[in-house]
Amino acid sequence: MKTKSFFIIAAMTLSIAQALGQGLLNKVKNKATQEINKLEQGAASNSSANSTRNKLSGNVTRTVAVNLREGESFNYSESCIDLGATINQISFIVNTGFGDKQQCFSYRNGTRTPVPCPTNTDCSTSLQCSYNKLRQIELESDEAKKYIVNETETHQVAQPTISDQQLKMMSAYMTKEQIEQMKKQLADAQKQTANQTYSTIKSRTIQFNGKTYGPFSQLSQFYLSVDNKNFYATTLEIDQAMNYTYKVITSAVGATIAISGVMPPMSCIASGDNSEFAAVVANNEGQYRILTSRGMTIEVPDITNFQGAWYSTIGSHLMILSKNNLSYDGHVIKTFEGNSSVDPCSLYVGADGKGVTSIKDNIISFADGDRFEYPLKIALIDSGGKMYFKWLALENQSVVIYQKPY
Amino acid sequence: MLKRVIFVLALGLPFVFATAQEDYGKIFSSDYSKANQFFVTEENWINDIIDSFHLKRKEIKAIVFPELIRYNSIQDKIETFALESLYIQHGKTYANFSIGRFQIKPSFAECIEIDFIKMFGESALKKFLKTIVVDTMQNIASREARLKRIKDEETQLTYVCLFFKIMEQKYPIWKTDKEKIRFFASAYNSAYRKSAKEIKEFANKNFFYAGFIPTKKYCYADIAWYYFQN
Repeated sequence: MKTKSFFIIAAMTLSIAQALGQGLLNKVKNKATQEINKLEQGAASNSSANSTRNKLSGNVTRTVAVNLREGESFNYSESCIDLGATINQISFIVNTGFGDKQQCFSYRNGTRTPVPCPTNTDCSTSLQCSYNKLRQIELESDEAKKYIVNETETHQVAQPTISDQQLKMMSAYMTKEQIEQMKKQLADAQKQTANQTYSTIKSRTIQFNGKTYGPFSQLSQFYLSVDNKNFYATTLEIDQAMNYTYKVITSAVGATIAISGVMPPMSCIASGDNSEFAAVVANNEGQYRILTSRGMTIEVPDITNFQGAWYSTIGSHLMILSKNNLSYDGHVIKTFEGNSSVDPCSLYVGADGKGVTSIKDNIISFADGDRFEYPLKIALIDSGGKMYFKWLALENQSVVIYQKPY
Repeated sequence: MLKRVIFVLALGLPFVFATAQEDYGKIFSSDYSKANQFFVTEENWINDIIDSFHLKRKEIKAIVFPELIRYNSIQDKIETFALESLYIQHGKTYANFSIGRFQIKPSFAECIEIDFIKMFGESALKKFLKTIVVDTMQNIASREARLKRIKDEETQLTYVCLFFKIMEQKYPIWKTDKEKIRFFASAYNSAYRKSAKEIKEFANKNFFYAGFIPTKKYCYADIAWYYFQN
């Protein structure tokens, strides 16, 4: 079809060229090229319609990144597809053959290179969360040791002893042999604990990007931002009257959140640029609320139906998902089906706070009604200051990159 | 006589070393405790599902326990999104991967569905998988539905129980608990459609490791048996 059209257009081009001269010939040539491109694009969009349930409007661009060779398939133990930061960047690994004859190739920005087949699936590029999801670090983990320095104090293990008064009382109901036995056991215990010591944590100091925070007598939580460039931590102070005060601090801004009560925060959230943060907390009466670094308090009346709070990617608006209702700065913008489980990481709220793009069951449902089934990888990219959805698909043997404005 | 004693000792020594049990609770430490804790906190629904099959709770928990250990060590790092899309579109030959806490592969689920229907009938499978129609045909819709099923934790356990029913039907008589648990665990971890000889051979091999990079490998069957005893 494409060839036939090409010959018709080429023949037309030739006859017109003979009649009207070179200048006109170039114009017609260009027209012919445009026609051929149209035909190719048409064929491409047909192949993208593997599923008739896909719906893509005019603002979606489609680019064939590479055509896999016969017998090549994505290495299924290798899920590290990197979509990069710009439209043309992409890398992944494919394999051909089996067993000893298996060979892997890396496709990186259009270049195909033989590489050793990966031996593990440790993929550092996990599915991108739609917002700056803080990562809680266990205080005793090796990762925490990179940032937290413990000051310890050493204590002597107490020696077991029995006073003369206690011995006298024992002799009233124990036989002589029993007392001798007990004394022997006591001597053994004293021998075992002699000069034994143990240490406890006196205080903790956070050392982050060359700065020192603390010391804190008690540190109960430690979080890192997605890019690991900022930390958030919860400290605990207990005064002489046994009043508990938790405090959320951060390396990002000077603001803190003070929380009265014996419960540490349930979770901590931060905006994409880390200029704002908030904590979901409960007071001693069991009432839940969200406290923000700007001094706002938002009540959470029904904690059993509370599904999460976070800041939107664009504009640092506070998002709350509760009872399947998604609110944007307090206004409900979408209600999800009652029996559906919604993952906040898969919700992308539009810059105007009106539409929501969601990813569920390997289907992207865009805010404007577009839809795409079974993408391999999805990323948000910044191109010239404008945000785009970028996703990868395998259509027949073509690896295709799609892009759509956020 | 002396020669005979040495010969007997030589034969016996590998057995002694092979059966010397490691302290897997210590080896896998926090991943082991978390796996154990999962069975405690989620006891109600887990027991309900196992009971509905009239199977022994301890046996089912033992054969999947090593998978729970592994899941705890890798859960923050695994990304199956691309593989899920590839499986739905192109099937198990293109993408076959482990999902969730019980580390179920789509190919395993496909085999279980087919074999269970053959042994116990379609209505029995419908009852346990709680779907109106279990479609074992190879098409996008059936793979999509299967993937949804195996991403659900309760259904994952249901697949484990279906596997156990198939195995009990196929291998009904056992001399000891140890033989049965080690054999079933190996079948679960390798491929239950293999011959009994191959599964038995696998039961003595060290292929199991937590995390992504195998620093030291252990025997899946031994870990399952260790959990069963403790």
